[in-house]
Amino acid sequence: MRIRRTASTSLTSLISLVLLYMLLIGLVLVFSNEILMDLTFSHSFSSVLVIVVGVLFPVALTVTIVLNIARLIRDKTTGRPGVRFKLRLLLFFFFIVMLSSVPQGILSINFIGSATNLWFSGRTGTALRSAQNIALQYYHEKTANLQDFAGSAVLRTLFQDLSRSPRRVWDGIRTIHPSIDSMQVFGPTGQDIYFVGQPATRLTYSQIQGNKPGEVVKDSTGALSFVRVIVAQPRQGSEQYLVVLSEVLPAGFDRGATEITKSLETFQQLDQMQSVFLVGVILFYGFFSLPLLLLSILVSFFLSDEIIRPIVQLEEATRRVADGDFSYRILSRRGDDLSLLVRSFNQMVSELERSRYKLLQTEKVAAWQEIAQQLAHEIKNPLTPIKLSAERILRKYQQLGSEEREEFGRILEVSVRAIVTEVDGLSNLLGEFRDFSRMPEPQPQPVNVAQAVQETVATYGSISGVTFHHEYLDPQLSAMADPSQLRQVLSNLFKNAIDAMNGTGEVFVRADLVKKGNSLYCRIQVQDTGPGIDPEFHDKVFNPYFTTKKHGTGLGLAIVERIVFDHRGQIWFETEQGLGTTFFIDLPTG
Amino acid sequence: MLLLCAAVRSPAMSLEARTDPGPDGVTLDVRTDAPPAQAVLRTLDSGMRAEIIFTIQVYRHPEGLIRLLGDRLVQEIRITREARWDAFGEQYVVSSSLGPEVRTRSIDEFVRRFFGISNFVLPWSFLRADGNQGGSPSYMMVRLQVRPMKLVSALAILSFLHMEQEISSAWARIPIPDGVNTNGANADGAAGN
Repeated sequence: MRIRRTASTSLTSLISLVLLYMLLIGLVLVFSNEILMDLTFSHSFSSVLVIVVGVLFPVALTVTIVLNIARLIRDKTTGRPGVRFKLRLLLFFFFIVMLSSVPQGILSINFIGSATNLWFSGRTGTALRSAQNIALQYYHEKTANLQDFAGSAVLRTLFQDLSRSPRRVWDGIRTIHPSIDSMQVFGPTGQDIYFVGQPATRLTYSQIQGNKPGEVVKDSTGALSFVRVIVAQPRQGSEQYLVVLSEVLPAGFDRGATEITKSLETFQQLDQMQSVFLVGVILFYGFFSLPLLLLSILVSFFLSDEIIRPIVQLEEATRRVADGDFSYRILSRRGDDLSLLVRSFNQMVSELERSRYKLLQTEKVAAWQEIAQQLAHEIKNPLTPIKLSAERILRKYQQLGSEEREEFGRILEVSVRAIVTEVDGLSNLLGEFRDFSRMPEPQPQPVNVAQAVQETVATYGSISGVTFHHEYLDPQLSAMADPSQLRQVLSNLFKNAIDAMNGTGEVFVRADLVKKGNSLYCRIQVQDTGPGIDPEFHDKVFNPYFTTKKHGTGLGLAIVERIVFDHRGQIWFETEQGLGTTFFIDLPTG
Repeated sequence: MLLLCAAVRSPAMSLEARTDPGPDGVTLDVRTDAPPAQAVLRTLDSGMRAEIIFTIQVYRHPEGLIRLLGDRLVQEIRITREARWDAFGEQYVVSSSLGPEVRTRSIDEFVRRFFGISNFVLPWSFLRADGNQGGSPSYMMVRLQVRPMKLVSALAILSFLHMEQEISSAWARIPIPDGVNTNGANADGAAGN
């Protein structure tokens, strides 16, 4: 069993969240003008954006954090290793984040509060109102003077010369009211008859059509502002001249008045919304800082997971190995900080597994060797006297006369020959036992695999009904093995295959170079087309004395396994009912 | 002349709309019989601005199975107006996103100009922007939103904390009358005041 890492998934999710947040903040910045101008009436993309960043995103993050906290509580309840460490890490991260953000937030809000109090103090308001009042007073004084002059008897007297000499009228006006900057006279039909003074104040007749005589109107052309009044001067009958007297306002008056009005508006709004403003500043701060705070908590969850995961995995793996599961391995990403530790652990477990296997195998072989020796000894000893006695009886019988022999012989000869045959069989069997128990140490040397296969196949060439396929063996491929023992391995496997196929079928032999870890192996495969091995016998195939054949000794595959093991190799098989069996042997390369 | 009226009651304002089809388009008049004039005038007197937004949406009944998805929004137009008191000129000033600035010293005229739309022409090309010249009947939805105190730019972000001061009417549904000129008008945009 192998542990699959889930950290990469978490990392991907976290990076996606951070990227999403960055994208949203980027969009907020792009649309900041629209957002700052109007939020409630716009119903536009910017409003949706603000809702997503300000509400949905923090809600999603909060839900994720709550789920993580629930998982942490569950882990703590179940006593999962590393929880206390994780909890401490989380609290530490949280403390650090709060330590940096809370004072900054409080200071920022206090600073903004103090600054607005300072900038928009009552004194500022009084100053702005006073400035506006002064400007208004000045303006009203100007308009009132102009209006009074327009209705004065002096002006009416001056206008008596208007048709004869407008210039003289203008000179008189300037003498009495020097602040008047221009005079324009329109005829009864609206024709522009005369103009004198500041050129920028010159108007068209359509511009004054809506104004009543005597009414002071403020006007502007470009950067110049002026007040003007229309005076109607009767001519003949119902006809009249319209005289426009204009007085230019000081440069910048209009702009200054507008600025004062706007500043006063801002001041009054801020004054009215001072309490709301502070709440707004807090919300504004929270708008950016809350998602970051939540993200940092989420990051702390992820980091603590990252840190304790290998520890938890090691703990679990150690427990599994202690329980006897030597197949357990920990997977780690390439380049992971803890991959070296994980690799060392996995190597240690592999070594343990190998040593344990070797120990078991050695114990097994030793036990069977002892049994075999004992068995051979116990059976061999009585066999010789039995055989000698049978042969002696046979000889005595042969010395008898023909009549005696005829009667007794029919039974005796058959029986004695049977005894001798069986004793020979037993003797051969015991010989194999002895060979098994006294198998010599292998003397490995580079052996050409193709050649060894060919030689072994040749000894089975006379068996009709069985076809060997070994044409595609690499002639250069060699294994580090004892030549005679390798041939015995191949011979046993071929014999096993022929027996499995009841003497009819095909045997496929192939050999390849494979890499396992940092080592190269020669992998030999022997495949038959027999009925396959019954699943109930799978774990007994290599046991000594286990056989499904009527006359088998059950030592063939046990010897193969022993030889392969002695060569620091590995053997296993794959089988499928009705299709056949393939034996795999990995031997060190030559 | 075809005269169509629609009135919708809302907790704050009643909205009355009138349409009049002509060769160039549909002339729209919208007014409210209970405008929050006092609140707006108070704001203007204290030197601040007020804002009003008229939203006009044009809907069409789709044909076929797609009508199960509901009526389709074909066009939308928003008319934003801003009012202020000009202390120097001693007059109310109404500036609009469409049309020229209006100055008046009369409160009644100011209320009429600020809270209502009159002779606002919606060209046929605007109303039939989807190209459905003679299709199923369509209608308009009109709404009015008043912000008695328009916040300055620096404080506009706080408008959501000040929403209790905003007054909205309910949507008024106004059928679009059959056009005199069903071939569509030449006018390219809306006009009126």
